[in-house]
Amino acid sequence: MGSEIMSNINCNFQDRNGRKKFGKKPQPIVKKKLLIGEGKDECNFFWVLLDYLKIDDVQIIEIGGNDFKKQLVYQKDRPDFDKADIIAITCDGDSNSHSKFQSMEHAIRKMGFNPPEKNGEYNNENPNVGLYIFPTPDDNSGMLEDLCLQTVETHESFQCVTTFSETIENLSEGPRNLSKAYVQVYLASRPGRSLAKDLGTGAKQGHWNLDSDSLDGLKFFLNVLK
Amino acid sequence: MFKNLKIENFRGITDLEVNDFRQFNLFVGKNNAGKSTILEAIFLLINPSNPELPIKINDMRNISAFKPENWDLFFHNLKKEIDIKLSCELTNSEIRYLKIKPLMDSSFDSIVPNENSIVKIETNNLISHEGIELIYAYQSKNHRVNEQVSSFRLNQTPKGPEIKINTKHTVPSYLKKLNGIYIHSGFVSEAIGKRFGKIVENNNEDRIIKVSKKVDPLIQNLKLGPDNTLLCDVGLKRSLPLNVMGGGLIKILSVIVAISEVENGILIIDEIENGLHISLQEILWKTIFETAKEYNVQIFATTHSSECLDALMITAYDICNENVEDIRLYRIEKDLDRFKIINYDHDMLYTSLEKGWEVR
Repeated sequence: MGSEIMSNINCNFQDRNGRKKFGKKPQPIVKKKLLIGEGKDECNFFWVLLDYLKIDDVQIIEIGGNDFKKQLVYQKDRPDFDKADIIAITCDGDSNSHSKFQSMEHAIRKMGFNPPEKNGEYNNENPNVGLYIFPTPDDNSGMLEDLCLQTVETHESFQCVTTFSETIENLSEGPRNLSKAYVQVYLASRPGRSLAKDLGTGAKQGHWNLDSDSLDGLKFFLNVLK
Repeated sequence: MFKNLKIENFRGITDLEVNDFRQFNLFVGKNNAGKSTILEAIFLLINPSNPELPIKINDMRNISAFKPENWDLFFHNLKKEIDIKLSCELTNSEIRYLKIKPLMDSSFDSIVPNENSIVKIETNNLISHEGIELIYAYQSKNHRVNEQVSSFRLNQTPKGPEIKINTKHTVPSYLKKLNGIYIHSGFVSEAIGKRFGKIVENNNEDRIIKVSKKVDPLIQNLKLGPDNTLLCDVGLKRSLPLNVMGGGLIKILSVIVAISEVENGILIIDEIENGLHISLQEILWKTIFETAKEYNVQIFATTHSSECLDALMITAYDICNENVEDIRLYRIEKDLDRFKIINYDHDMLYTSLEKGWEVR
């Protein structure tokens, strides 16, 4: 059994104004090793990285973007969530990894668990609950995009990112999220039959260097799921 | 309306408490988790002084009341020595208690072991298989507790078995009546005509005809035939009895007429999605929301269907708008003899369904 992201099948349910869609095939929790990621990109990246690390039998759960912490707390009430042995939680550090760690500590407590003492570690209890905040436990801010970019810093295509970075410095108004913009530039510079439009697709197409030392901390964190 | 419910030693449930009931309450959970037992407990507490209700709930499970051993099936693990205790609080602050005990056989009353007795009397030996006893008490705002006892006994007569009901005290006149109807999963449509007749008497049949047309566009009118048969005018030379129409129409009509009849009371629906095609789920919920609000009826239902839950949320946001707080979903989890209730408020349910997370 490999790691899997359960695909949703959309039916026709939506309200009369088309505001929200329901009708997704309900996803049960079926595995005892859970990896919770923030958004589709992150989960697609994990799917590739876990395969690379030969870690299987893990259920990757995509939550959030918006209301990540609220949705994280909701997980504890899903059927069979309480049967999990290992719960690895990941999220972006964004503008302040330290304050993100503190707010995640609070959310993990609301789930009924003791949080780990440090970023990148587990609580070593039952279930074993871990927390990893991107890009790495040594960074004060950032996101998964930054970590992926770190893995390709020495690649010749990264020059495109450097040039782009220098160029937009002179603009009166630049992109709102520089890390995401750099990922787009890097992926746009890569060869391939189809353009990878996001980080997760880039991972599936093999554009991130999974051998990079930059991933050591994350690999150490994920190896607990073995 | 019910605010909460506590169940001890009733059928498969050892100890369970459900809080925070709203107007629309839906129970989910695996088979044999206790969903139907919860509905039965609510049904008994709607009118705990009505001695027919225990017979009815066994009957709905096709359990004959005329077999003495079937009284045992009310008791958890058939342990008659442990009383069943049900209680609830209503929104008017009334608290109701119902204790169900096996009926003690009076022929054993005279046995009093003395010092020289070598006979060991075990509790079970003192209990007759002949019936059960209901002990009902309530506590109102002024904290008075009143008690009422009813008992059933199975009598063997020359004509066959009969159930004898013995009510030791009369129903207190100050006890407010609470109406309730239980639509079980194997329901039959015979009550629909009778209830529809009452609605016609009050000139309230328009809504029912309108809903029926949505379910089956061929329907032009509904009318009451002989023997309270509900007839559907579909443009043929004679009207057709409801029983030959689709199961979806029967289901939706049974719900809407029941809500109309049980005004200011409780409607219980076991396996609400039963007999309904996915395309009718939204019509069912729209009908329920509109009529239950109009008639001030609290709904308790069970389902196994994810489509039913989706339809519930879609319709709730369309009909209830800001009143989505009136909706609660409870998942019953059973692990051996331990029960756990997961209470989903509207946001948690909405998020779960939107994200495609299993809630059942």
